[in-house]
Amino acid sequence: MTQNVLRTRVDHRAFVVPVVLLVLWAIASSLRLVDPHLLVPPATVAATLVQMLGGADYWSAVGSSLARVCGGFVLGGAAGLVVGVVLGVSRIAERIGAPTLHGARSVALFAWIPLLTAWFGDGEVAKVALIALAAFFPVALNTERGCRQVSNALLEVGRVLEFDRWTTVRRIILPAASRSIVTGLQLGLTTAWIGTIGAEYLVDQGTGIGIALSSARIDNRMDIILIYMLTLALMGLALNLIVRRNVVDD
Amino acid sequence: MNRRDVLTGAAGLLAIPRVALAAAPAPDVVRIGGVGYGYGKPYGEHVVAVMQDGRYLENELRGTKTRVEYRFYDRTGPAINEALAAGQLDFASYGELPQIIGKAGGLTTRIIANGGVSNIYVGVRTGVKAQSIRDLRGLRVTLQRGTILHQALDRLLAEAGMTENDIQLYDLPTSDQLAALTNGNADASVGVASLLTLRDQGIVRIIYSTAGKVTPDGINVFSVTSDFAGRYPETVHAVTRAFVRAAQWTADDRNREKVIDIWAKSGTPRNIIAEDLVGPLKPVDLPIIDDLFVSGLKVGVTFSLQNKLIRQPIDVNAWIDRTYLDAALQDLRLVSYWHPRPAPPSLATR
Amino acid sequence: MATRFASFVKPIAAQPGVCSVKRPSLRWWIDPRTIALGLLLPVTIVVAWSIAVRLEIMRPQILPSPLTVLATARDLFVGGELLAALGISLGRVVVGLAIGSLLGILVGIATGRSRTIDAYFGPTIRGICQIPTIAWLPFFMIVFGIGEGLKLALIAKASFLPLFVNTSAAMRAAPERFHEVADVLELDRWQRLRLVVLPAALPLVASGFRMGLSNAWHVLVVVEMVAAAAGVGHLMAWSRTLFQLDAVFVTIVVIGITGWAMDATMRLIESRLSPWTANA
Repeated sequence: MTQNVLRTRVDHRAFVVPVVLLVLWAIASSLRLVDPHLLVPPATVAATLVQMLGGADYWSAVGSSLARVCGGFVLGGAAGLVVGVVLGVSRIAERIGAPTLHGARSVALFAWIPLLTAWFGDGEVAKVALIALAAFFPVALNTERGCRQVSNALLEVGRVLEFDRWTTVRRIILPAASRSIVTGLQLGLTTAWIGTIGAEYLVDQGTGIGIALSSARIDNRMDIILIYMLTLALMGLALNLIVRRNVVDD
Repeated sequence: MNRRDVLTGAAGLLAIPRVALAAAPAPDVVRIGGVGYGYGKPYGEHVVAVMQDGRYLENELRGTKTRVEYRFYDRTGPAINEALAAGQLDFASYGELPQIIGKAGGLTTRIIANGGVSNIYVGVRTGVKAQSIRDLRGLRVTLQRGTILHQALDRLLAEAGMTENDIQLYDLPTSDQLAALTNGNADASVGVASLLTLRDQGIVRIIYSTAGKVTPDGINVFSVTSDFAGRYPETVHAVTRAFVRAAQWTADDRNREKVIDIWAKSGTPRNIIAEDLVGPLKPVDLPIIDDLFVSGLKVGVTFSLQNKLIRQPIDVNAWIDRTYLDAALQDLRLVSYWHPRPAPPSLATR
Repeated sequence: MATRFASFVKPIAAQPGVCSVKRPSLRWWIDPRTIALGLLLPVTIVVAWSIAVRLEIMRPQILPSPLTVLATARDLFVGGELLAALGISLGRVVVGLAIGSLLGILVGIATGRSRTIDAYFGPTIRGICQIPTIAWLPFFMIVFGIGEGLKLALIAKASFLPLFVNTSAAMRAAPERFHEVADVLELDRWQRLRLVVLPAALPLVASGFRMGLSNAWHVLVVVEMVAAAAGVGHLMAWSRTLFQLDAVFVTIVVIGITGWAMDATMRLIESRLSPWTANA
């Protein structure tokens, strides 16, 4: 009985391609078809992986990145929520703020880095600021849309019950907009994560996965790069799982 | 007046700086920046690293509440300029070209000493047939634009009767140059001693180096922000004295091996540093501001203007502030310890 | 195109989660009052900025005055530097986007039409796509060096994902009813593809293409900041090295405007191509 449940949940065919690729990789590197710096033998990667997992550098890099994304996401997300609600609830605010918001959003995220480092140096502030910026826009935009699209019927109820503005927001608009808000937070977290890696890589000071990637490239260590890329893939998958779990079920 | 009085008087004179220091307004912390060599270590090279290691400044500032912090920046010039602008540094020892760029960009600094000289090397990929600068014609040359390396290359090209148009110039940071040379994407590179590690790996052959030559290239400058100098002049004096003391220790041949040890902490392999130091250190890593130094700076300004790195010229003489250096040399009785180097005649017209 | 199928195609094209932001109707910005209100915030920011510069809240070299920025913008524009850089950047985007989107569409069709292929390749592809594009930068740098190959590879990778996902979903989106209608009309495989599947897929693919373009532009900026000798990203990074923050400001604005213009144009094309798309 249990076996059937397990079998239906995991499609074994999914593993075929990765395994085949792994085998091809091993063959190609043992035949020295490609420069060993480029195509590091799987055995070397495995050995480096074991070494890294046992050392402190890897875990401190992962930990630092996680800490940063949390900090930046909280900052950016909170700001995004506030701005989103204000713009979504007040028509005047929307007219004033929306064009600027959309305009600022269209600037490629990492284009802000030179400005941030010029103002704040290459310490934590610039990196966290970028992450917050990354989280801010999706949260603000989706919150705004969600609040604005609250159906008139619901707003009618608020008027009938003579709610003041604040109560309307709290008890009608926010709950009705919750799905959009949650979507915004999910997008914000994903974008913040991308922003974290990018900011770390570009600012290149301190500890973190992006910084480790940068050092690995400078040292021409493809094995370290591959390991961190794998880490990111796994963390991305984990992020997806976390994010989906909180979705309001359709 | 007997001998004891004279001695007491002399001791008193020597103590004046200390006394003045103790009485002057003092900052909580003095932050000194230097060039990092890409290894992420909190150590550097040249006199500033010796100053850090020997705790010269801490000794000078004993009795005051001032702490000392050193920071070595991997992204060298640009990062140091940003730190100075953001108020995160008070003193810095780095290349003249980034300093020129920073100054032109609005940084208000004063040059107080010579930061030492970096040797410049030109290397070509093994397998590429080139023996001299002239053979670089048509080749793909990598270096980091806007650095003293760029300036040196232009001078070398001019001396060989060539210009940048005769080569293909690729603007890359040091780490990418390594990759480009290894993969065959570039034919030659201009760098500092770190290029020698590529030679040791068999990737490049060195065809030119300024080691042991007297050139206006590779100049490093030690400067202070005008802000800091205006507020804490006595501390600037203290820093300069510490700097000169460290330079004196560096110049002493008996300390040569220890100096190399200190610089090797920055991450650059020890044998490379040893090889890079052709001849005695005294005429090379000297703190004094002589004609060669000043002419080198002027060459740098001209170069920057020509290459549109800066938009207006800089008055080098107004930028230099010799008062601190002169006072330090006086106090430490080192006025004639170092020999000023004259500007090479070829620079007279620049 | 068979317009008689338009009424069937309409509902499926309104996929949730495809349009990320509500597209404003064209008439919105013509109203003078709206324009005035929209400009209020930017104008206030510029005024506050000028005051901050006057009061020297930050050193002038890291907070240049708006006038300096304007002057620099004019210089860069007139001097041709800006347009040349923009041209190079856009050229890279076009080529990279073409490669990436073509690959994305092909793979999307393959995984979308065949459950078997999707079962084998889908998870691996999706797993690889979890890795943020910027993390591919060091990898591609070692593989391709720092030439054009690097930029095109990254841009292609960035534009691949949205097109792959959307095309794949689009292939499976044509609901049963359409196929029933096609059966009734006894359409052969080719006609079915042309008259049913493709029109149904078009909105999603177009939207995927728009997202791919946006990704491509974002990635291009980063790559050029790090590993290029030309292009707007490089111009920005170089201005930063030269400590000319006014030029940095200008390039940021130009990057933003170009990105916005491309996005707006794509939306326009999208709406023309699929008139039946209901906007989210």
